[in-house]
Amino acid sequence: MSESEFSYFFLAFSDPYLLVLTVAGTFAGIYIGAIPGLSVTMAVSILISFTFSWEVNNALALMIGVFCGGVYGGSRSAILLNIPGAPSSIATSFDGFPLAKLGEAGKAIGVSTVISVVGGLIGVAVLALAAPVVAEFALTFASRDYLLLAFIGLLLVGSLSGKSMAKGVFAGALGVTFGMVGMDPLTAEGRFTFGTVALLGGIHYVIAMIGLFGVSEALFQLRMLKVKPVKQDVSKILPSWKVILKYLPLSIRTSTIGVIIGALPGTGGDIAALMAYDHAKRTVKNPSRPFGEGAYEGLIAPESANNAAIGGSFIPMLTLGIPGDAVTAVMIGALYIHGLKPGPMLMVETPHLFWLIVGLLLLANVFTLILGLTGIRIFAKFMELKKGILIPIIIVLSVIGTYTIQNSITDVYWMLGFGIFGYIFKMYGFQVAPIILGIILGPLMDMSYRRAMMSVQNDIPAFFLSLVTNPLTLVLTLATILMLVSQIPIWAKAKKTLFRTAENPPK
Amino acid sequence: MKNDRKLEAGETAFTWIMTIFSIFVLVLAYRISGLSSVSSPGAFPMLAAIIMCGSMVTLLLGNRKAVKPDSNGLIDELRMAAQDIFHPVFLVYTAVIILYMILLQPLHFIPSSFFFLLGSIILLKGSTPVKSLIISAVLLVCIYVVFHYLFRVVLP
Repeated sequence: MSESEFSYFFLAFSDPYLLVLTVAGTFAGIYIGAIPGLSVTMAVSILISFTFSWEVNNALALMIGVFCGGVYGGSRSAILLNIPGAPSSIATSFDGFPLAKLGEAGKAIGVSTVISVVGGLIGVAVLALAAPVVAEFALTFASRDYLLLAFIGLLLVGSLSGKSMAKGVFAGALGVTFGMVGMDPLTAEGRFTFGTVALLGGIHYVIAMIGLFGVSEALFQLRMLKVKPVKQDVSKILPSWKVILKYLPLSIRTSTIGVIIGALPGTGGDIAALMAYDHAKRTVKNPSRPFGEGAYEGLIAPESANNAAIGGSFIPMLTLGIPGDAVTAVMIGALYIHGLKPGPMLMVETPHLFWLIVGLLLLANVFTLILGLTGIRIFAKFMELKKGILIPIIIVLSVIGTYTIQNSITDVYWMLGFGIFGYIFKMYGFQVAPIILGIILGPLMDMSYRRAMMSVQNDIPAFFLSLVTNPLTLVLTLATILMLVSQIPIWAKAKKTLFRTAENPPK
Repeated sequence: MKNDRKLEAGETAFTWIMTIFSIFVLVLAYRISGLSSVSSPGAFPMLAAIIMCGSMVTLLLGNRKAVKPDSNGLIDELRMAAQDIFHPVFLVYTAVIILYMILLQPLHFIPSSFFFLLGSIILLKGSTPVKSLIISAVLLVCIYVVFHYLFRVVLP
């Protein structure tokens, strides 16, 4: 690395134009991420359309700002409205929304802001220091490894949300089925299309997400029209050093999970956040409150992980040209438009751009901290709005958000269908988060499974043998088995009995 | 042995509906490519459908041990479920949403959204009719400016 290349790292901080664009991008990203129905992916896609004539440095500054701000912003609506602004904020709503219901939204947002930035900085540091090493590690992954990884991701949600394992598994498998609707990417054969052309394109997961999280929540809120909204205490959002230091070890652990998961191609902040949440649930013995009822640990884990995953997701994107998630896929498109070739040659031909990106990511995190800790009162006012005003707003935003994806009114009807379905689901104790994860992970699992099977000429024993013969795959297989076993009710009973016996040994 | 979980009114019927739906999905998945190959386009959907069926059967067996809802027979239980889930406000408001979606394209975004917001706020008792008029207008202007000019998205 030459000095001139590294100087681009400081360019982000010294060029006033880049500073302005990064701060504007971060500000916009926070509010885009926070508004239900608007996704970071969509915002970055739109940004490409009017930044392609810009200089690459300026375009990168704006898009990186929106990306970082958007991932953080998604947590705000997850905390205040129980509507994750982005898939990576699904896990944030598990404990974030219960905290808002307890009137602690201000403290929750304050803590999540600082912790998000801690996660983000760890992600940037890893990107800068270990990019070649992690990229090499991710490069060795085969289809069977992706299959196991996606399965682990899906397994987590099944047990995470809701009291019934069977309901969670059903919701996850249903999501996988929804994800299969449309044209098979390998054979172009229609699946669950009923012979119609309209269904060949499949069901866009953002439509399902808006319906299941936005509309179903709005319909559910109809039952609580007379309930007065909890006044959110957002007067004191700056968390004390004591609080930050208390949660710092957990955030470092979960940031590490986030950056590793983020660095794996095809897995982004959503899986990272869920794995981090699961890690916190398993390792924190005395949470501030039970998980799912407003535990700060349950908020910190996903928030640090999904922000750390941003830095991680840039590793395969820049070094291999493989997207880490939907947003980085769009970013790759943006780099191509600017005449750059993301992949190993990018690091060789334009190493200065790598350092500029690292600098911009660092800058965007600094601005996230500043902007995140200010202007929260305006957004929190949404929660103090009467349900009779809030519900129609959610519906209109959901309609706009759905329509803008493909400019299709049919998608809007789909969204309402998902909303009504999600409402009935909720009424009977089913959780909607596993459906979304199934939709996102289903196609990845399907492709990975079939490629892995084809690689062993459809030989089932050879397939299972391949899961234990490769060291990397073996580790993932063992992790999958461990997680699967730990979620079987018999295991939980056996563990309880074991602990009871250990505490009161027989005389 | 009974467990502590109490079933919601209509939960068993809903589980049965989901079970039948799962079987239907399994049939559809089988029809994609049958049992031709373990890596065929229908293999993974079939696996997902089998998991759906399995989890629903597990749930049905679990429901047998749970405490039944306080009702006099199946008809009474379904009536209770309908009243609880499809309560009048839900039915009326869902109809309003559908009407809004139908009118979106013929009336265009601004008029249809204005009437939807106004009607919804009055219906859901968000504010008085006069205030609702002002709130709807202000909200719509904000939404239009943000989405049309700032985000440049195509509105319906």
